[in-house]
Amino acid sequence: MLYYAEPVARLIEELSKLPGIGPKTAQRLAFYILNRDPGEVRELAKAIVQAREKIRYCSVCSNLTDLDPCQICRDESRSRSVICAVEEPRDVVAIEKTREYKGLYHVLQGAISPMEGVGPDELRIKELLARLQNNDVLEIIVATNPNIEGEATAMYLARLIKPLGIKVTRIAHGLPVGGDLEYADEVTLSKALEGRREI
Amino acid sequence: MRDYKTEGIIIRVRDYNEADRIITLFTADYGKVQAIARGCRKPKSRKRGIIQLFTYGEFALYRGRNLDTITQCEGKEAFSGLREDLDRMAFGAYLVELVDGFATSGEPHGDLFYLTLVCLHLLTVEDPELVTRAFEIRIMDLMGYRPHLESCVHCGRPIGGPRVAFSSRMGGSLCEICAGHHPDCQVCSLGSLNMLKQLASWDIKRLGVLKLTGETKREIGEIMKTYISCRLDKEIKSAEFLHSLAGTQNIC
Repeated sequence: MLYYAEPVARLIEELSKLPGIGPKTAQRLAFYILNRDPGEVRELAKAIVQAREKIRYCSVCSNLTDLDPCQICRDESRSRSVICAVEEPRDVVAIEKTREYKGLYHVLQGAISPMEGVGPDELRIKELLARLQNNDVLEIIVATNPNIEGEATAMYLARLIKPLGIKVTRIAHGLPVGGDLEYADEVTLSKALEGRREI
Repeated sequence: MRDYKTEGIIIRVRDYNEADRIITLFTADYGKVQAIARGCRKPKSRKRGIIQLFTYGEFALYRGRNLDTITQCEGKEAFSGLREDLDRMAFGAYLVELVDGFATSGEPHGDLFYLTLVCLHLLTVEDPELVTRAFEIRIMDLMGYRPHLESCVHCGRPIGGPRVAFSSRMGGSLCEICAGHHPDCQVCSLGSLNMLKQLASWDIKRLGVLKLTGETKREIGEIMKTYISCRLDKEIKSAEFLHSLAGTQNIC
């Protein structure tokens, strides 16, 4: 038996394919959309289609962009001598929010995970090495996640890039701001001790 | 009682939903346990540092229908030596993937648990390749697949001569004459077979004393690789990565 008219059922089905959206949430979103002004809904649909069609990977840094090369790669005011390697486009946003970094980025599109069968060939490592061919780059900052996969990727990059005479650095590990020493785990705490600085 | 406490090693981790992780815990009492650690990717989570691959710790769980839930955990050993060296880490990933492949859920695996723990520790200090080879032969032994190395598996005569062979299909060594009748066997030196025998019985804590030539290591590696893939119907993905690493130079 059909509970919904066919277009509504289809909308619910499509929405429930989104991550984190179960059947109930999909139903709620569908009814919300049905109650909105048709113009507004058209804008939403247009935004989804446009984003999907216009966004592609930057040919230089592999970040998501509508312009190729992307805005960060085009920006003349940024330093060309430092490249920060990150796992995902979301990580670029996170680092940009700090407003501390003025170099370029390279999005690897993942991290090495031997057990999942994700090897170096699945990542944009070749593209990064190609960027190092011109002699402008002096340092690579590896800002992959501080978990096993991220560490593996960082060590692998260091192994490939160091012989080229380029400095490879890793972002620091330590305690989160506003954190509690008592609740910190031993690995983080020992890393924080290791990376202590004189004040 | 739906609550229980156990010691375990985390042998597989995958992200789930916004901030959760589903892990495979290898325990001495219950074998493999699939469990969910809710919220452990949030920066404020207390479990964050512990729910990482290789961690050995004490876990409090709550039994669920499909997945158990981790309510509390305390790390005992993080094997940080494995995180700081790419080769050791790759061997570590291979080792825990083998455990994941062979161990079953719901039954005790005391011996394998102890072996895994010792080998993970040895991986941080000894030659990782040697530790892995010793682990491979011992896990096969514990799972009931100990290869027959005392005599020829085909004719029963004692093994001798400079070039002998190992047949993965038959599960043991072959003498020079019988090797000719088994085209799928791997020809190797008598030294490699003897070393394989020694790796299976040697006191594992004194593994560092054993010295292997590059050729012996290569031969034993090839034999174990074929033997394991013959007995385990699952592909070991980390092996591919280990292979690709062999082509890069260690400069770390």
